[in-house]
Amino acid sequence: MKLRSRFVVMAILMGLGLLAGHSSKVLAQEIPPPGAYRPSVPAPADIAAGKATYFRKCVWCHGPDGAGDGASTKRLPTKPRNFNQGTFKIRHTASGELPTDEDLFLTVKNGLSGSAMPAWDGILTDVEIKQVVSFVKTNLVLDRKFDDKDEEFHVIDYGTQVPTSEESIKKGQDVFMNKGKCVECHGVEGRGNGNLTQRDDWGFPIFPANLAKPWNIRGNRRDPYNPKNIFREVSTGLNGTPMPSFADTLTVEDRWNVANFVMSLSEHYPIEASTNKPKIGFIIKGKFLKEGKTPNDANDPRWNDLSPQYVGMGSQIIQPPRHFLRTVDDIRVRALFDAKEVAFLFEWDDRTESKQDENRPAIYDAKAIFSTSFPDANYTTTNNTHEDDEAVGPLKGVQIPDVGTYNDGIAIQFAQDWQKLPSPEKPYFIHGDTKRGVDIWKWQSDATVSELEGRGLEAVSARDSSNVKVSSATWKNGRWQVVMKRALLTEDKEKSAQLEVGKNIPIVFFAWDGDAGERDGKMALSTYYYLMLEPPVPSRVYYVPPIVAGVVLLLEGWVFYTARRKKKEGEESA
Amino acid sequence: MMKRKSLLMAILSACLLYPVLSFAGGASGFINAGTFALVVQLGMGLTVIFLAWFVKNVLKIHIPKLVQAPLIWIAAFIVFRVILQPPLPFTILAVYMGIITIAIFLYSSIDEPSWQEFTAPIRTMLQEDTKNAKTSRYIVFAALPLLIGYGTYNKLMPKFEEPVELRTVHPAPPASINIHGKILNLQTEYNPFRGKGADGKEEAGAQYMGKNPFAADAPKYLQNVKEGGEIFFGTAGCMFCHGDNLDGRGMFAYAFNPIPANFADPGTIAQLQETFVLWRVAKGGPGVPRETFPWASAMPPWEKHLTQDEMWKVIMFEYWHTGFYPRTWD
Repeated sequence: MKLRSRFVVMAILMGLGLLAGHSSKVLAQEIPPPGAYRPSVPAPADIAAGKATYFRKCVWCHGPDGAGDGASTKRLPTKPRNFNQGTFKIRHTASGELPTDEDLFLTVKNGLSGSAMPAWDGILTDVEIKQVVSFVKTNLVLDRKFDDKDEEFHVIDYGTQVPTSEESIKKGQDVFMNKGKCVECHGVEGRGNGNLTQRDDWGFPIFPANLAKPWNIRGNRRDPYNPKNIFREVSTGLNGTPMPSFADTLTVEDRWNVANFVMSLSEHYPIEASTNKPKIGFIIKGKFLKEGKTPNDANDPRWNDLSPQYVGMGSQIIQPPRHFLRTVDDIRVRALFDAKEVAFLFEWDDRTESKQDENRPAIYDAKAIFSTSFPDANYTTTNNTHEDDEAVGPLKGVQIPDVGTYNDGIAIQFAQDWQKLPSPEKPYFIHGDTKRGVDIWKWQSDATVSELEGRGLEAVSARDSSNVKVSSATWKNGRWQVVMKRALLTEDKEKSAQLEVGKNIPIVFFAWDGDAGERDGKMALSTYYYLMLEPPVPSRVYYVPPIVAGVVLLLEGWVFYTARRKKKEGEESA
Repeated sequence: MMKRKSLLMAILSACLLYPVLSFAGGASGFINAGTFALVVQLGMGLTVIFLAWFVKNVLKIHIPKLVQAPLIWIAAFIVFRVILQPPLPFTILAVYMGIITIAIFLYSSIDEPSWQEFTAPIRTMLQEDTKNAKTSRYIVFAALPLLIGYGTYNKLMPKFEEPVELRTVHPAPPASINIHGKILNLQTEYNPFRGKGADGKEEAGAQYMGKNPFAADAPKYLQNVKEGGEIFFGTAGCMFCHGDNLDGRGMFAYAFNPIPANFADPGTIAQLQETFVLWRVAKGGPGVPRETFPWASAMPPWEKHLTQDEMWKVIMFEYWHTGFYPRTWD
């Protein structure tokens, strides 16, 4: 009875465990069966309900006629989808075909990360999403009909997935470089720096995806490290863009191998579910170098002792002049220091190596665009993403003309006299304020290095001397690597931040992409982080625990001895 | 002896039920939420007692007292930490678990036979020389120094964590503000684009919620909402931070700390007067008092980019989109 009852208990516990596991979140990567497909015919009630939802939530970007000309279009570098032509990017159907119902459902539910299309999961119920999709399919897709008998739908075949392995990645690299020639657009390291002159169907500039940031790839369906996404996009091509379908030129195995290779191009940061971007830790840890001086370039093997920390960057849309187009959406930071100085390694993806040149047009700022898809709207330029053209209110009439290309740049900002700041007060993060100044270490791609004093965005001034040095700045395959150094302590204690070991030093980061028209206040910026230069671990951390463990052993021995003696006494007296 | 035991059982049960009852009673709407919660929790308690009886008498698995104690402790912890909602503050949890710990020890040590049964496994481990006793002794004597040594190492290892900085999310607004040279008294101003409702008071707009502002025959209220939306998504570009659904999950939200406000949450604009929101919009991050961290806020001071009319329209749009009403004086 005892044995059997134990089995019963085990079985019950296992059953409960299985139930608990099943209820965990199931990733939405439902694949429709390959082959021919017919979409559903939406019910009129669903279309009416979808219309109501559309005019509450979707119209502001996609426009009242679904032509992608809503209010937000003037500020977005990547325009909202124009539904009228029935051209959809992320699908399971062959190149040039309309999407399945599930494709549209998943796009709305998961959003298109890296663009302004959010995930509507949790905001709209599944039923509401289906209704909105019904409305879009019926009323806003004008040039094609989903129920047209001549419209063909061929869902791609995923075949047998090739699991990732060294061999698969190597084969995939061969496909990437030679067979599929992906490298021509996406670049040697996949950072999207290969072909910078392309346009989409509507005439807007379009740039190859940066494959080293899978969380920004549109069709990642909030599952950025899943190679299925790459397989699908390579197999179907992205309608409306220069990305073709490779279903006819690459075998299924080739496509899985290249998918595995693409997944190997990026650092697999843990993803924050609510933003679908890498998780951000707000402390940048610097490591102490016991021997030797700080590294001079990015190739120094000692950098590999640190993992690059992800710093998120937004656009400076806060203080005038506002700028919506930032292309640098993150930088990776590492810090090493010795007794005298600190070295930062900044790495960030930038499709272009930009230098100041009035005569060279900035690639992101293409002015001569006329879109035939929007005859009524005045879309003669994508330069509406800068504030100047739409300045209203007190800034009306203030024009800052953009001329040509500017320098790329990076800066790290410290608070002047940060030790004296009454916690948690700090200077205003955008270059300080009148009460509190900041110490900005700035590098630009024309090799100028400066230490600036900031007392507000309007009051940034260069200082006579600069102790800041940039020992190496290289752009290669779509990525900048800059090593910036300075002594920990300098003479000017008032204006230069004095870096102390073992303290949380507030810092902010700034980046400029010259080909996006960025300079001075038009930039990408981060929020407040902390720099922590970690002192070496004190030796007592290593020798005290064994001593304590030894003491515990002695105590155990004493307890054991006492217990034995008690037992002996008990036996003797019995 | 039996009397003392039952007395202790009664005290122990009271310790378990007291928080349940006080919570249920304290929760608003005693009749609806509290009573239901009470019934559910009493049901769970009875289930636990039934399971204990089932294990002991039907399955005949004997659980030694030394193991029963931590099981009861863990069960109580699960009830307080996980099952009771909303979550208990840590100090209350600590008090309850302290009471449970004391009660368990009292119960185990109430009389000599009970105490002997409780400590029997410990004595066996120390004093006997059977195979089981020896094995358990080696395991415990090895595990204790290792665990304590590791704990000491952890305590001594310097950790550098982000400093804790507590920010006030809803600061007290000033009595008046100056926008573009015009002084507004925040206690008497109202949104001019709302107009007056049928009752002569400011139009709340209930009949316009969820209606189509782009309809050809849209009333003036909805036309203002539409213009506000076009400012939100276009001219101003609020959705970059506050998101397309006004839930604080915009394209740039991940980069900023503090994160952009979530208007779809009932704790933000739904709790505020429209003049408060106007103050926040006009003066932005730099305009908040020290306790709200003006230096770290990415909220633009919109008086530099928008006219006052545009700000009022945007605010109207925000309330319409989220389905909330601003807080009024009455």
